[in-house]
Parts: sequence; structure tokens; C-alpha cells
Amino acid sequence: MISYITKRILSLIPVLFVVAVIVFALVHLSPGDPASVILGPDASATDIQNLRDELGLNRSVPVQFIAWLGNALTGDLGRSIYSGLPVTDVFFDYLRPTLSLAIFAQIIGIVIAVPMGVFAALYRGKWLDGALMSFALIGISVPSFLMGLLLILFFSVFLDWLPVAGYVPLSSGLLTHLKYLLLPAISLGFIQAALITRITRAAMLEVMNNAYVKTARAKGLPRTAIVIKHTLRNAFIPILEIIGQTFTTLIAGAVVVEFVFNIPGLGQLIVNSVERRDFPVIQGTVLLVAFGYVLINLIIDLIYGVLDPRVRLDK
Amino acid sequence: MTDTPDTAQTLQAVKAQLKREQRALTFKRFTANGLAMAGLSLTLTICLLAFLGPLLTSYGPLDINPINRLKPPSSENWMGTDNFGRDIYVRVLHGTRASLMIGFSVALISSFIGVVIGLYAAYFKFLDHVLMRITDGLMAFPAILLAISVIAVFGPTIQNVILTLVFVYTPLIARVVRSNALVVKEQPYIESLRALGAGRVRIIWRHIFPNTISSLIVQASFVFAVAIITEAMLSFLGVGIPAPYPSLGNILYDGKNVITTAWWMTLFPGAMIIGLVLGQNILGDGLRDFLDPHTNKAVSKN
Repeated sequence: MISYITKRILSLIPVLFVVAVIVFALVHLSPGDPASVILGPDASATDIQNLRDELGLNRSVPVQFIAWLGNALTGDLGRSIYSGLPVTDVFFDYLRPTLSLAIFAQIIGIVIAVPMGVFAALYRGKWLDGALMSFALIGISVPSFLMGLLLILFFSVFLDWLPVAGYVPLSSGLLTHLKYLLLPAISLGFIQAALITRITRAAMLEVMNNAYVKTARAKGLPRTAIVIKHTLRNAFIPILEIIGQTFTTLIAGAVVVEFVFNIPGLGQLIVNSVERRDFPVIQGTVLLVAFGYVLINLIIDLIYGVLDPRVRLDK
Repeated sequence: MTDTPDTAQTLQAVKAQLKREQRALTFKRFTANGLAMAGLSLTLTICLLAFLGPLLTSYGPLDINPINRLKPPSSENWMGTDNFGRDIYVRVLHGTRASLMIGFSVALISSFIGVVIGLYAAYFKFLDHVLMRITDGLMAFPAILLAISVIAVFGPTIQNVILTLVFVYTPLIARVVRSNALVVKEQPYIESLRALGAGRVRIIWRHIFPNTISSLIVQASFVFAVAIITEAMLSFLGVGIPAPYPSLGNILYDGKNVITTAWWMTLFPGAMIIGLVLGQNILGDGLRDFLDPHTNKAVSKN
């Protein structure tokens, strides 16, 4: 197990290095001088020169990269040009609503999708399977931000049941927090549910063909016991896998859904930073989100290692 | 050759006949595939509508009419008007045109690059390590965040939107091509080709590449769909196709500000996005069943 863990962690180093190079290159490949881009067309030559010194732009590119990487490794991603605050502080301030939203949406997705996938697999080829799978196909075809707009149109404008937009932090009560998060989380959870339903059905069908499921049935075990204890449990690995793989789509969706519902999360941070040409914040946010993706997939890989010993020996 | 010219000719004719029959059979099998046909007809209907639909009215996508602002759908303006009095029907169709153009260019260009990367990565082991680490790194970014930051740096123009989406989605194609090519590469007939002295270029392009085409087509149709979604998201966030040119995303953005009064500005462009993406997804599922009957129907690995 320990060698498996070290191997997995070591394999992350090249990926993280590539991530760092891409993020660094983003700003340095830009046409024109970053300093004059940041300051805008009206800046004086001395101002530009001063900012160049401050950002270290007068050094050679590899030296700059090493300096930047060294700082990034110690958690220093520079300061926001707009607010002057450290990028990491700004990032974690805006992360909370996004994380709340993503987790809530993921829970909604799993709670809807796993039973749907299981029933679709059990009634394979029947009308219920057809209905559930068409629903899932429509689900993956509605982008989450559009789902959000349509939900607002229906629940907030026509029915007037839920608030149109806004965000209330967890500190003002769990219920109000969730009430404001409900529509955004459904919009994001819907597409997630559709994806997980498709995977669950496929995974269940594959496991159901195994000999031990037949044996269990032959022994006369009750159907629910077979489904829950023998089939679903073994079908869980692909389900976990898709949850890890879709983390980026979930965060990407959250970024746009937040913009729909005016939630002060990473989406708003990045859109505002683009308007303000606040490159350190854009750079830092993209880097940290990519880091989060790598971390979550590491955790999921380690969970597999525990759940399924075969994985440990394979790689 | 022991063949007399006569038998050689009949042999040719029989071969051609067989090929024709094979082609007819494939065509029949495709038309019998309900999913693929449904997806294809939905997509084609939308294409026709996008290119011919604007001819049915006299409005242009940029014609401003301040007296006629935010009017609900009527016989005059079939989908209503927006906050500048522009006709939504014409704008939605022009936006759909832009979406189709972007989806198609992105799918095509990233297929070209992805095929080259995937094939060479599969064939040369040292390249594989380098290229796959790079795609791993690229795939760690949420597409939309990477796209936003690239466009923030290079500026929002249609070309930059397309280039960015190509950058973001090429890894998806490269991975599929590579994993297919890796399997094909180990087949005995590739080994015998090598023993016969066939060159690398010949093996890679004439013998490995054709075996990766079917999964490439399926993946490209999904890239088409996600490119349309991502473009809509970018334009919705104000970093995609720049105003006043219509795109489905920026019509939705304008509509968001007046969502409590002007439902038509959200519903119609929204329905068009769903139609476009649904058509591609159904077509993709159908193509997968058609081209590769072994894979499970319901599994989609975006």
C-alpha cells in the first residue's frame, strides 16, 4: 500500500510541472508587454518601467519562471493588482461559496443518479429504462448555466417560489443558506446526475453478468440484497471514477452558474479579474483550481486502492 | 501472372461489385440506426434553419429599433425583440450559425492535431511520455477557466475563441486516438509489416490510422457539442464573441438582465442551444453503436 501511495504521489510531479508551465506561459506569451497591458494604454513610460521592476520582468524568462515557481511552492502567488491583497487570500475568500455549491450539487447528482442508474439497469430494455435514459440524454444536453436560467424563469418568475438570485453565507443559518443555493445546485446537479446515471447503468450491467451474481441468485438471496450488497458495491468504482473526472466540469459549471445567480464565488472573481486585467489573480485562480483537481483525483485513486486491491498491484 | 486478361477483368468487376454491395449495406445499416438518424436529422434541420431562416424576414441581426424595445413575440417579430429593439428571431439564427461554425472548426482542427499527436505518441515511446504528461496537465484545467484566461490575455475575437477551444479540446482527441493506436500497434499484422520492411510513415498513416477513425469520429462529434457549450458559456460571461455580433451566449447574457420581464430572450436562444447539443449527443451515441458494436451503449466518456 505504501509503495502504491508513493508511486501515485510521484507521478503527480510531472503533471503539476506542466500545469505550472502553462499557467506561467499564459501571461508571458501575451502579445505586448504584461506591464503595459496591466496599466492600460495611458500609462507613462516610467510607471511601466517601475511595474516591470516590481514584477521582475527585466530578468530572463527561465529566471522569472524559477522565481515564480519557488514562490508558488511556498504558497506565495503574488498580490492582486486591484486590491493589493495576496492572491491566495483572495482565492480562499471566494472559494467557499463555489465549494458549497459544488458539494451540494454533487450530493443532489448522486442521490438522483444512483437509484436511476440502478433501476435502468434492472429494467434493461423495458420502458422504464428507455424513459430514464432519454431523461439522462436530455440532461447531458442542457448546459448548467442554461438550466439555471430556465429554472429562474420557471420557479422564480412564473411561480415566484424561490429567490431570483443572491447568496447568503452559511453563518446566517443553514436553511436560508440552502434556500438560496437550491436553484443553483439543482442546475449544476442535473447535468451531473445525467452523467452519473449513464455510468451507473453501464457499471451495473457489467457487474450483473458476473458469475457470483448468478450464484447469489441461485442461492435464493433476496433481490434487494443482491442489488445492494453484491452488484452496486462492485459497480461503485467506475462511479467514483466519474465523480473524480467530472470535478473540473463541476467547477467549470459552478463558475458560470454563479454568474447566473450572482453568487460571489470563483466565477465572479475570475470574471471581475478579467475586466480589471488583474493577471496575478487569474493566474493564481487557474493554478489553484488545477491543483485541486489533481489533489481530488489523487484522493480518489487512493480510495480505489483501499476498495479494490487489484488496482494497487496493477500500476 | 497466370491470369489471362479476361479473368483478371472479371476479377476486377467482381471486386468492384462486392465493394458496391458493401457500401450499400453500410448505408442501410446506418439508416437503420434510429439514434444516428434522429441526431443527424435534428442537426441538419437546425443547419437549414440557421442558413435559410433569416431570409424569411426583412430584419438584419444588427438593426436597432429603439421604439420597439422588449416587445413579446408577435406576427411582426416572431421571437420578440431585445433591449435595443433588435429582432430576436434573426439574432438567434445568426447566433446558431456562429455556434455551428465554431463547433465545426474546433472539431475539425482539433481532430487534425489530435490525430498527429495521438498516433506519434502511440508509436514512439519517449514521445508518449512527454505528450501524455502535457495532455494530463492540460486536462487538469477546467476548460472554461483556461479559455477565459487565454482570451483575457489575447483578447476576445472569433479566431481567438476558436484557437482557445482547439487548445483545450485537442487532448480529448489525442487520448482516444492514442489508446486505440496502442492496441493496433501490437497486432501481428503490424509486426509483419515491419518485418517486410515497411517504413514508419507508411505503417502509421496507412495501417494504424484507418483503425482509429471510427472512435475519432465519435469523439469529434462530442467535441463539436462541448465546443458549442463552452462558446455559449464564454459569450455569456462576456469573453466570447464580442457584442454587437449575435451569439447564443450573448443573447442569453442580455436576456439575463431582463429575465423577470422578457422571458422570450432566454427561452428561444436556450431552446436552440439544447437542440444543437442534443442533436450532436444523439448522433454521437448513434455513431458509437454503429461504428463500434462492442462497446456498451450507455457509456459516455466525455
